[in-house]
Amino acid sequence: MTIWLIVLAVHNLIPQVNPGFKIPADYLSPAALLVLGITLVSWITAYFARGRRENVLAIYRVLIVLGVALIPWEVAERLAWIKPPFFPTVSKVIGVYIEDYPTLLLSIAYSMRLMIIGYVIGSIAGISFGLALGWSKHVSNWSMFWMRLIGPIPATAWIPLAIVIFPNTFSAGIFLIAFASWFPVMMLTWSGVAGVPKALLEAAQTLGADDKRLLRHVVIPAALPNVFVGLFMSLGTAFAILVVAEMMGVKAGLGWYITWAQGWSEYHKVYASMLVLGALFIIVVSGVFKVRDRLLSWQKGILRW
Amino acid sequence: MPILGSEVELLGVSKSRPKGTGRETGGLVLNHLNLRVEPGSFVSIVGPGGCGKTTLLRLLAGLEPPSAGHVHVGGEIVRGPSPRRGIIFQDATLFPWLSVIKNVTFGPLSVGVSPKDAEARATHWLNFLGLGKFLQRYPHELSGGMQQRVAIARAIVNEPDLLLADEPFGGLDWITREQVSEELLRLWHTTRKTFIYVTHALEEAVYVSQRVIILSARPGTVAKVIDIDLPAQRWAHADLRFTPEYAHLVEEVREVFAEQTALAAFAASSPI
Repeated sequence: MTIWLIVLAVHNLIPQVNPGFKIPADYLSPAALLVLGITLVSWITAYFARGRRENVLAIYRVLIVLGVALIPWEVAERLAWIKPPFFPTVSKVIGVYIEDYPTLLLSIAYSMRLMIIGYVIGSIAGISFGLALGWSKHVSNWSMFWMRLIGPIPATAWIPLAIVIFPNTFSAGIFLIAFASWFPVMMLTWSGVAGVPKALLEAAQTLGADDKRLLRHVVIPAALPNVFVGLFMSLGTAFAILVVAEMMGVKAGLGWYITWAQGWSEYHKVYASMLVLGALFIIVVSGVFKVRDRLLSWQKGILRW
Repeated sequence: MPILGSEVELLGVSKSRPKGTGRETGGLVLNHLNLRVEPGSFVSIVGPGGCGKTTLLRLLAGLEPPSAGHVHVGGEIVRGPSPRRGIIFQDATLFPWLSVIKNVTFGPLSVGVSPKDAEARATHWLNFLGLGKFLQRYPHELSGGMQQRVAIARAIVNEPDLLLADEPFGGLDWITREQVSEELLRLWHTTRKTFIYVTHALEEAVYVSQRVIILSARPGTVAKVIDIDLPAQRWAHADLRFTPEYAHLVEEVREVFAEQTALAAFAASSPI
């Protein structure tokens, strides 16, 4: 709490060196007051509801680190040690969410659409290829070399080709994201299938399971923990490729927003959208974790997200 | 009287393995083995370590083909795994992603039993083995003895004509072991299927079976067959384990076993 009072004090008490012609709207003060409000409310909650204490502490830790980081930034900015536009004021970055939110929300929507379509296609392809490779000796004997050759080519290296092959940048972007998520998912699914304990397969066979049942009820569940490792790995690359794909010429989306803002030297928008990207990643990862926790509830000592 | 289980017949069965595979050194594992097991009998197989007991069971289950000779079960040549020949492995090998009841219904559902019947049958056997309260648990929530009992239920629920057990109680403590093997014995008594039980524990073998087959040192072949002439409903005789007849039979098995183990040690030490 004191830290945020300091933030507020720094912001309002140190006189601005070199003020511009126009005084910009002040968003930091209300934001800091909001944080102080949250702190107070959660304090009261923690006092009355003991079970919530851990959650409140978690919020506190985040807010404290944020406050500590903001103090030097705000001091430096007040004393004009750092210069806009490359290092904008905290207030301006917050202002983006208030002034430019329609464009930002639209960009988020476009990005998520591109990302989810590409990721889902890539994951389905990866799981199918991985199962085929692990299940059939013929498939792995014939295609392993080519998979190993094509798979590790960075998705970004496909950009020139993707632009030529696909009718528009949207489908090219989907291809790039799908490609980037396909390979890790495939490799880990494959290793998961290869690692299914032989004893379980034999047990299932002596119980009368045919190949279909073996695949559906033994191989897939046994490989699932590995499949999820692949899904998490590919999520990171898919996000990176998402931004790259949007920068190469998609007409909307966060990557586009960043390049657009950079073009106008509006660096506060760059910062704001970077934070949004981070938050989106957390949300998407949490979603995948939720699915995993449901499907793998049988696992002992599973890491909860 | 229930229908008896399958007759088992091995004719000149040999099995060799390529060198450098698996945990053993390769070469001949089973050597021209002849064996007949009466329908509906309970037979134990004992033998020195590495004599091919497990291999023998795997051949009977159809998990591996013999290198030479024929394996007949119920008058048919074994050509692969079949739900008519159940097997209980050394480790319970339960499916960790399935609850206890679903582990047991896996077999019936695989052979086309309706879900309702499968569940009824599974519940029946799990109750029989004292697991009625744990139907919805996952395997990792159970103790070793309970897991092994689920494995027994899973193997028996398909009503196989032949039940194979490969040192199923190796990892259990003595008390649990006695309990579970007694349950196995009661199970055999109710179902009258053919049971073949591979074990290290000689006393256990004498206690549960009608016949003990002692295999020779590797490459395994039948060294001696000892008939166990004890009352069929053994659990009704609380002091059976302390009778002179029982002690005598155990001693008889132990002698042949020690002889074979000594031979194995000698073979291992000689340079050939």
